[in-house]
Amino acid sequence: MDAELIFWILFFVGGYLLILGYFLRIALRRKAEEP
Amino acid sequence: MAERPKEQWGSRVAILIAAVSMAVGTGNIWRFPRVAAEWGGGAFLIAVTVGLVIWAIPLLMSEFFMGSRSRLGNIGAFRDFMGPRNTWAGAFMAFVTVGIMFYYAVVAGWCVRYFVVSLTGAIQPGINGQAYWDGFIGNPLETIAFHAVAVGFSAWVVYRGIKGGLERILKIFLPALLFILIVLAARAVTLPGSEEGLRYLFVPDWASLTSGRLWLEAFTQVAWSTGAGWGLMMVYAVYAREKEDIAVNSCIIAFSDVLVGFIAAALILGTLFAVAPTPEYAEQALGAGNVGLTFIYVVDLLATMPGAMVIAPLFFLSLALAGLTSLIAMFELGTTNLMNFGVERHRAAVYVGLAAFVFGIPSAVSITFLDNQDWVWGVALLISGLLTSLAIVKYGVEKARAEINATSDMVVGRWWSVCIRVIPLVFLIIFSWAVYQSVTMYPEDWWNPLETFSTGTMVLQWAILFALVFSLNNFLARKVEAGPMTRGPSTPSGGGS
Repeated sequence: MDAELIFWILFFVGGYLLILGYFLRIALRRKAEEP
Repeated sequence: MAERPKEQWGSRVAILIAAVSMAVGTGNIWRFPRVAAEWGGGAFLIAVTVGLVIWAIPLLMSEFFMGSRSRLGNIGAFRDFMGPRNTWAGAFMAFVTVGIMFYYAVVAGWCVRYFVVSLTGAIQPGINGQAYWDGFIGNPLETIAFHAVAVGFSAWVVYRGIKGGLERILKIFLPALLFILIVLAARAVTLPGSEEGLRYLFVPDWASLTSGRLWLEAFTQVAWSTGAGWGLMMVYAVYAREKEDIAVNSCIIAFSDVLVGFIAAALILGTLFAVAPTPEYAEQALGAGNVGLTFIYVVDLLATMPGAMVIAPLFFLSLALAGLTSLIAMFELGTTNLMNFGVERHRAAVYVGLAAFVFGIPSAVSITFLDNQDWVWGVALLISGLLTSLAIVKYGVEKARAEINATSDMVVGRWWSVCIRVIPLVFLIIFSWAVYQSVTMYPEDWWNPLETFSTGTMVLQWAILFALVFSLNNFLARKVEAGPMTRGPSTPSGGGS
């Protein structure tokens, strides 16, 4: 697997995971605050 | 404040699992990889992401909002948001998704059948995928039997209710589906030769971004894949807990759906290019359509792989799980809408199951009929999406945004309002393109309602549906039970349980 392919896999999969992680973090923060 | 319904999802995780299960369907596994590979790989993924922001997320939020405020299915929700004179819009949305449900149950049955036969070791060297498929699809007893299995299972889940049925089953099915896809994808990307497939998927062909066709394909894929505009999120939101976070949940659902598409595409494309005898064979497989790719080419290739006895059942199990979890959502849509007319859940689930079985038989018997229904109601989903945005416009876009923000941990900015107002234009472009496609496919008889993918067949079937829902408008508006938006929060809710 060459560097260009690895870059784009990280870009898209990593990017989506980061975005999802951001929203899940918000969701988990609210859960922690729930009584 | 919205009134608490009798049934409710047990937690935020429960509604998220349900909604992601609804969104992730067979299309994530057999359509997304094909289309992504054909339309510029990474460039397509960029266009899909834009489509998520402009079309899918705004509509998912709108549906979530409408369902959780009205506490009614599509028919009642549109009545309460757009006024009794526009109840027909909710009925249109419900009928379109129910129309899809009829043939989707047949497709889910195919997936279940292939899972079952792969368990028996049928997918092994020497199998002829085309002949095996032809033998199955040409045997109506078998296609109807597996259609009945899919219908029976989905009806049973919905019969048992939101907590006892949907939540219990989906909490098992979705994690299992994700686990299988990740394992198979991990296996696929380690196969020698898989890089070519991954290159098709992830490396952008920048020139494609200037192609209008790429953007149309991306927006179409987003519209159909995320469930935005289907009315399914609206129905699931009926059972949302009070003050459920609409904005963050919608974003999680949309991005999860596309991420699953990435994983499935890595699996399909990686395996295809690793195992195919030549790259041309792999490209041929990608051009063979959903059915051709999955039930013919993939079967032929899986049979040649070491470990086929394990990989083939896992692959078809993932397809079956994806199909059934989406089908369950469609069954719940039919059931919830019926319940709003005073039919109690158990009876409603049985009626929906019977209707799904009977009206799915033509699709089980004729794949041409199935393709026609997929075309007609698939394009009609765009109209459902348009109607959702119009409902929010009628209600008041800024009023809706303020109410969404009141229970969201993320501030929904003006971008959402702009997107809601832009959706009609996006609809016009995509819809016109779909019509243009069908006209160019049948230049001589594009008007002929008997051609599978013609404009004539779409117009005729939609006209019948429009006539039906318009004529029933006042009846539906009167008969759908009152919800908290019309009744007020202090009065106990009526209707079926």
